[in-house]
Amino acid sequence: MNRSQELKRLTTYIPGFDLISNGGLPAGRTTLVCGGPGSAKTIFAGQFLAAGIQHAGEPGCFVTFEERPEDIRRNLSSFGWDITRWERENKWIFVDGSLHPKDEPVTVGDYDLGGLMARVTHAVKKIGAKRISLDSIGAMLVQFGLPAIIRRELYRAVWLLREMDVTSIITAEHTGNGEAPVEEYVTDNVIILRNTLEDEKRRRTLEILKFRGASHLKGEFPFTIAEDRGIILLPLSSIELRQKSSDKRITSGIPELDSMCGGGFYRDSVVLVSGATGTGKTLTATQFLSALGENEKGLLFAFEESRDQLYRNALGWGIDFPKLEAGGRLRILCEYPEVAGPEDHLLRIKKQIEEFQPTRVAVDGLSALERISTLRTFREFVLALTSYLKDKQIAGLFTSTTPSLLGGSTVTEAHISSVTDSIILLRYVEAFGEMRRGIAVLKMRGSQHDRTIREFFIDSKGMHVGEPFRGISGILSGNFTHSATSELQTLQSLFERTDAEEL
Amino acid sequence: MASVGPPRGPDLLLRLFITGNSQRSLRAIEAVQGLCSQYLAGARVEIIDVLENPDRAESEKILATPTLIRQIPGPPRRLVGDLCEPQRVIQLLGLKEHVRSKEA
Repeated sequence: MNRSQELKRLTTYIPGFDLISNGGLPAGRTTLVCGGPGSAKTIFAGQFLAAGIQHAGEPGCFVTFEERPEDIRRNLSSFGWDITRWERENKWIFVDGSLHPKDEPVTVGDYDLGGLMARVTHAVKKIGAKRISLDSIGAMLVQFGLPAIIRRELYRAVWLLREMDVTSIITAEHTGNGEAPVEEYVTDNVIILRNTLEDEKRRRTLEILKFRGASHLKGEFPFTIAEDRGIILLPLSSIELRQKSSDKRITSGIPELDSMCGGGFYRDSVVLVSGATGTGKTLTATQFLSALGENEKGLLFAFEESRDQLYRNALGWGIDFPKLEAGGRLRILCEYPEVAGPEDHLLRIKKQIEEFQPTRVAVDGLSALERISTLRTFREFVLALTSYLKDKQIAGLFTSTTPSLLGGSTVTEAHISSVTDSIILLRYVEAFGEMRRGIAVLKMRGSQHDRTIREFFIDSKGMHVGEPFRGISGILSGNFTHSATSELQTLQSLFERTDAEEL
Repeated sequence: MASVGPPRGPDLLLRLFITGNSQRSLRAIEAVQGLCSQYLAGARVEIIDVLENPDRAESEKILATPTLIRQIPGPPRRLVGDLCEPQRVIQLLGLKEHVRSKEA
């Protein structure tokens, strides 16, 4: 028992799963996959085999107790898995343990699952299966009605599978009342799939409860079911660890802002621009994307405005979006946040990035996504997107709308500010009966930056940053107070630099 | 008990699926043989070991062993277990009319 040797792993090729499991399922072992109704157990079981066939050339055996093979063939074909063809090519084999209701067995005395095991062994040998999925134990328990025998047999089955040197998955119903199903004690490895309702929003997660003798990441990981690819996990924390960081700077498109940031944004940094409606967030994103250097490409995801609106806005600031798009330097995608969940949005964004290979990505109206998700999901979304961009060394700029015109912060900010590298605030400033605009760099990870709040103007060429506001305090909170000039000067002479303070 | 003598041929075919020489298999074989010699004189019994004939297990979709199938007369009826109670086996498989006690 005190052998510290790590178990061998079988790479599953289920997107994201191998990351959170530190390399895949324990090879040659059985893993129990528990979940309530509709938690995607059957999809997981099917994908385990399909991914093995597609990515590793490993044949698989599907033992079904609930649905008939023809149902499974049909249901899983929507993910692009051609099971019928794989069956012809001896890559996939079914063992049909589903029973017609009229065949319900009547029992007299003790029995075992010798028939099933002989069939599974036979099937595995026939095609040289490396992976087995059994779906699901609950259906078998219902068929026979004697849980004690089934559990004893399950135990034997797990041993048999181990001797055959195949890696297997057994799915089981989980009532979800916190009580662990007895099956959990049969296998060394347990995964839980959840499909819960949080704040009226569906959320799917996967958690590795235990891998005996093998490490894995802990906690729930959100996943989505993509139409054409099946289960895709969004492993957040694991990507974070691999982030490289660059000290190359790029321009924000606004020279004065560059100098406020100490020489521009970092090439692989993610910047959050926060402000009330009309303060110039879309402008910041537009200038960021139009300042493309040589060999640079920009991608804009807009969640709040239509393409025409964006074109018109940009033109008003002297930027020709259609021309940039026609030249292949820019791609704009407008989407309603409501069309999909955050996980799906993330997938779409990633897909676009993979296709277009941009060096700059802006998400205009990130806060709009907040409407369609729970706080936790939203935070995970931002975290995953940020990690992805950094991993690809892409410069990112997200904009977020504050609900109040003056001051204030958003839930968005509160939850993602620690994730982004830099935060730029755009604020309305009321000064002597006039509404003016102020810009401040709140945070700039790994660099010195300007700590003043400067006034800026918008004209037909875009944003121009001017002098710091003097004599006004409380801009960030929205509770302005005006101090007399003399007093200010006194203070300034007292403290030459106040840069040391970190926000 | 009234004996109803069926007039012709293989009017009762029983198939017993077992797994190798396990205790349960042996008990079931013994039970079926006892059943036949004691009550079902004209019955034909086929014993199939799933370890040797996994294809048969597959085509009959056998999960549990021992499984006893009343193949003829149809439609087939199934019984799972080591068949430790002969009277229940007769009752559950609907074999009452086939019973011919030794004395008859």
